[in-house]
Amino acid sequence: MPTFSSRTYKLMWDAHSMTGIVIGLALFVLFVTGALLLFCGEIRQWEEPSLRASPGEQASLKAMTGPVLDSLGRGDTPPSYVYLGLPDAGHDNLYVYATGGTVGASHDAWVNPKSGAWVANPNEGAITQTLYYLHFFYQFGLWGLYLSGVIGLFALLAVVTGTTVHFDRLVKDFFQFRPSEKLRVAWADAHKVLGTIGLPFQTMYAFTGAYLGLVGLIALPYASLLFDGSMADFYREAGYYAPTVQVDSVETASPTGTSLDQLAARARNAWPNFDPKTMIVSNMGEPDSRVEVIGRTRGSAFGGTGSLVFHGATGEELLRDPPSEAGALNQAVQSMEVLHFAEFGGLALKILFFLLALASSAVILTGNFTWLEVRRTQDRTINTILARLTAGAATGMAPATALLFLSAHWRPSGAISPDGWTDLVFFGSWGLCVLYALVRPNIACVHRALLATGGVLALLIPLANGLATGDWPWVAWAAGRGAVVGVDVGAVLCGLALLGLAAGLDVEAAPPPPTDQDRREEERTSASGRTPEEVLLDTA
Amino acid sequence: MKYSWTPIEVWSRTGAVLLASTALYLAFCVFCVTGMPVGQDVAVATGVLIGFPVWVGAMCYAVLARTALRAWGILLGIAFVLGGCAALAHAFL
Repeated sequence: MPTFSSRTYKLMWDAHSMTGIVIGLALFVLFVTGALLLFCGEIRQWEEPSLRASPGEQASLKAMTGPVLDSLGRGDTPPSYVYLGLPDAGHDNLYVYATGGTVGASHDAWVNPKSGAWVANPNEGAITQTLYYLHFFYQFGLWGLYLSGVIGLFALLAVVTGTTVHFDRLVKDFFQFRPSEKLRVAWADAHKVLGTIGLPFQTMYAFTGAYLGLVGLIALPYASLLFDGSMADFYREAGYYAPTVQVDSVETASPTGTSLDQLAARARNAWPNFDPKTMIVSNMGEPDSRVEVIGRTRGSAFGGTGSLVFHGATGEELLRDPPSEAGALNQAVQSMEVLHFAEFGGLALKILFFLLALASSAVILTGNFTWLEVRRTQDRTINTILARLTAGAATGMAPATALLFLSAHWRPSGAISPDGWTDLVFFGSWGLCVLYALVRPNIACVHRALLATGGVLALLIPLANGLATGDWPWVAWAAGRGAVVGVDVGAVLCGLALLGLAAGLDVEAAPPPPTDQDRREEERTSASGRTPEEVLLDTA
Repeated sequence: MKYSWTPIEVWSRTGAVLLASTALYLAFCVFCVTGMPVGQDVAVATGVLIGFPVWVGAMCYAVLARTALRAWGILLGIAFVLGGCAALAHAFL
């Protein structure tokens, strides 16, 4: 094992701790929202009863898209551009995005693949949308997205520097967890054990998160040097869209073979295990209409997308680009997408990633706690603020998120829009939690109160769903609505976990405020040239 | 903090971490697409995949360099060399 000089070690340690302190809470929000969004399809069904899976065959694409496009369009003219995110494995919903033509500005909707019922997607608000936007701070627009990318980049720096400082003790630290020792030793042990367990996971998410957040910026030099400044061409090369192809205008449309369902079926049979993911219709209803079908090879984590392009009016196949011949950029970018969105291992992988994301959140919090604990005797305002923000923003996310779920089914009618209501409940309650943490004298009590409140509110989530929709867990189970049962059971498990944490938090045993003797000890160790971290390492 | 930082060192190294490493990253990306003797597709993929490790590596170097001035000098120096090679390749290849 390589050993580092004392100077390298100290500098790496400082880089790790400062990076962690600066980005920690924001990264915590990214990991928690990311963990929940692994189940965004299930949560969407939970919050929108009309999108819940019901028995029966999947409706045709024409039947699913027709009412949406008819509703959005005015007169007989359809929208000029339609993007369809095809449903997965019978549980997900169809996503429809339409713009141009008589539709005007962009609109999107989710459609139940069995019943054909659809709901317009709110721009902000609603559980999944709020969590989704918060995952990359899109409440602040593009700057929020870039900020999330920068946080991902610095998370990568934190992972590299953290691994470097612990490299020669990695195996030893992995097997060392001493919760009965002093609090700072226990926090440090937990930080190192959980960090080591989640190291590949955190590295992958920091890397792919940095890419997805910053892609709009990092693609700029490539677009300007290689694609005449066209970002669309970069994304096309990266496999998000099919290659450009000339579409000739025709006089008459073919009576057969041009429906979306037929084109999707032809694409599905184009290559073995090809799984169409999206369909894009350009110039819909026009003589030069074109339909792109883009998909991946089923079950593979690494690899690019393949695509077929059809003439929208005649159904003629204009281009065929198999996934096996995807370019290097397509493979690299699409593999990152599949890894980041956990699209390759089914439900078991999503549950594993969910647990690892929670463990990663715990790594961030234990890092903050370790930092604060070794500086407990230093009476510095910045440490006090960090401690209170950690309690309010991180632990306070539990009751705020539970209230967000409850607000979907318990909302006042009339006075405020549904979107505004969920935003008000989530961000308002989160802000109150931060305020509560800032004014209460005992921070340990704040953690316990917020954990307990979050736990109780989470236990109410199945109750709210049952009372509002009649879909109690046993009813949903009998009807085969696994997504609803999953969210209800997940909420109960999370609630019990939060209550367990609150009960296990010994507030009485929390260290008392520093005494004069503690401060003299601190001065003595400082005078002997020993920093708080060195004292901690000696203890460890 | 384990290391004794002076305020000037903190700010100048932080600047090197944020700015000089970004300059190196950009120069690396441009070099990949203009100076590497591979296809356009592989060049962009290399820039995307290796770019982040280069960026983070440059950040680590900015922290570890003997002095902040050296960190700025080395990182910008490499960036200029890469950028120069990219410009030459763009002009003559």
